[in-house]
Amino acid sequence: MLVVTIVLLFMIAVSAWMLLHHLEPERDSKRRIVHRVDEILPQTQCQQCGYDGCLPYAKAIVERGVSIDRCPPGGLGVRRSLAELLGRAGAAQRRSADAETLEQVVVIDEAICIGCTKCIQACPIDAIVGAAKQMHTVVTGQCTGCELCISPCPVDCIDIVDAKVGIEAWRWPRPSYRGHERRSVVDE
Amino acid sequence: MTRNLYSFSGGLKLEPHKESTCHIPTRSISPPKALYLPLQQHIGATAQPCVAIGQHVVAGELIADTPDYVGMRLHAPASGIISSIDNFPVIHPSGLYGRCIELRPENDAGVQQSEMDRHIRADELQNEPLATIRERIELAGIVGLGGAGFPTHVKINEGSTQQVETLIINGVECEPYITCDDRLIQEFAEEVVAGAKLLSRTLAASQCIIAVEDDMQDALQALRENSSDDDIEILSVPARYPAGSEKQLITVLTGKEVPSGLLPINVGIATVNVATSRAIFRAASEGEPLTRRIVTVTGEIANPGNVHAMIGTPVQHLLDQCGRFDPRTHRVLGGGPMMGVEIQDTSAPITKTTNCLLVIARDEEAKPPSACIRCGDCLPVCPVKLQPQQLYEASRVADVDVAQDLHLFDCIECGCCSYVCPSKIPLVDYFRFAKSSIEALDVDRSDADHARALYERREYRLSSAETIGANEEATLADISSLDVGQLQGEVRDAVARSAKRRGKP
Repeated sequence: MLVVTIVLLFMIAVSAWMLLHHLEPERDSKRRIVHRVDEILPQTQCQQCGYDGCLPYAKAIVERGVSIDRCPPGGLGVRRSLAELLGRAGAAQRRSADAETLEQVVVIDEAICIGCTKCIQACPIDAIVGAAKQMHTVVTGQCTGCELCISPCPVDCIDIVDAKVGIEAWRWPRPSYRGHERRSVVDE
Repeated sequence: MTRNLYSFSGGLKLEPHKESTCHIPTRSISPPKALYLPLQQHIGATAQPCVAIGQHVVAGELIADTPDYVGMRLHAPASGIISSIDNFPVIHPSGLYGRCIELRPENDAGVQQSEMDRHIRADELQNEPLATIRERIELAGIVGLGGAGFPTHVKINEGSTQQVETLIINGVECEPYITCDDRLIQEFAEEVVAGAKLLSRTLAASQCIIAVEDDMQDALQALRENSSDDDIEILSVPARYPAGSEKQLITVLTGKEVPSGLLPINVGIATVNVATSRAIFRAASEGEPLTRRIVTVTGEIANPGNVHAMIGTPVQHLLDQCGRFDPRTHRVLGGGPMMGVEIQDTSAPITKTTNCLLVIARDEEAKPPSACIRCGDCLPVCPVKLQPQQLYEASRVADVDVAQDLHLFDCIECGCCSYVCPSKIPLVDYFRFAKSSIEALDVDRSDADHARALYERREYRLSSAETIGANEEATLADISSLDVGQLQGEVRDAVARSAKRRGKP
């Protein structure tokens, strides 16, 4: 009888411990949470949040409790996902600063470029190629539109343009019809 | 032998509008001034041109190849000169331009050329090895001619590795106005049946069914006259839209339902369109590449009918051959009234999958859609048993999780829900938008992963550069502690040794 009781108590203790362990997100190691936050962030590396890139911002959110609403390219979608992951109150409203659709990229006017390499050093993802006193150019399809290369350029030869949407990257647009959508709260 | 037919849920009984074209023999038309062959005209990889601008080609010559498994080869429909490879208007809902090979036909036509120069007589095909037949289908660049344009050799390869119980040759042309398959069967029934036999042998199918709609009696008759034996069942199914859709037809003929997210081959069934069946026969016996198809030109046009058209013929050229219409009052759909896409620029060419050009009146007076009144009319007509009204609510706000929980990707975009909606809500447009948004999210995610990898590599490089820099300083410090005079002496000695070895003073 005593043995059975001891075994039962032991089992209850073990299951309670497992349950607690399972429920408590704090026990998830911080590094793993940083990794998951970084996976949600859009990887534009644009520094608009005030940190040096998406990973540093992810670290700041997790380790120093920095607000989750500092990412304009991520917009509402990213805020929502972060709020859900971290159990924080998310800013559910859409904001004027939200960019969300990243349809812009930079191009270098190759006739003007003097080959100073300043933009190459500024690019957070090595999307600009070139060498000193040689023409530089942006690798098509890699630019995230972070705009960090624009101000370092001494001859203002970098322009921001709409990304070309090829026929394969084209997406069906949201139907826009007058009337039945007028009263609806489209974007919450 | 009689077969029990089943029925699929939902669907609509629609006015056929086929009488104006289904009794007229298919016409041949004059070749256009230029052909435009889009490099992307089906599901799968884009083809790569293998001709140069200014090069002369003969009819049947390969002009674009593909290294990908799910890809399709393109052949010259006519002899002529490649005048450019550039962006031209194509039939696409975006109205964007697509890359095309421009071919100007010339009259001094060379002999039809083919990589498959050997002709095989129909009765000899029986003994031909299966590998040869499979190869010839791939070389001929055949894709499904029913609509989606899935490369046929891929379908056959998948079918060869898995057990195919039933092969269905689909002649159920369920969408109103379209009669190209009807005419094809009436005029080339023998070749359709021969293709079916060949395919049945290639896939080792236990049974083969050729199905048509019950209002295609002439086609049914033609098929019966041309099949001598009982290997192939020929039957008609009740006309009910969308009975010709692959999964719905499988249900009607076998009572089986293809589970969500799976393919017909997973339940032991392969389906091929009748025109594809004929193309397979032509490729296997004549070595003929797929360079032309039958297109129905119909609707509010003076002289409707079916025409033999070369792939790449501009839509406008086909319309001109069938009478005039006023583009201010009428518009052109590529496909039928239920699933067709509006062709904004009629200089766009037809592709291997263009089955119909439908001219219909622009409805300027049409009232804009009104709000959903939750009547539920869309529910019983959905042939996939989805809940269009719930899906609409989710798609409208692009709530991707809810939409996927409601099986958005099982929607076949047949248009039944939009057709019955009393508020005239374009439901299918919303579902296409939602599908697109979800696909875009996946693309964004992979782009983000790429950017993250680049960022991490850069960070790593910069941090290692710092480490290396620190080491260099340490090394410099070590050197500076050495006796400079001794170092200079060592260098002098080395130079002297080197000079001595080379025999110089």
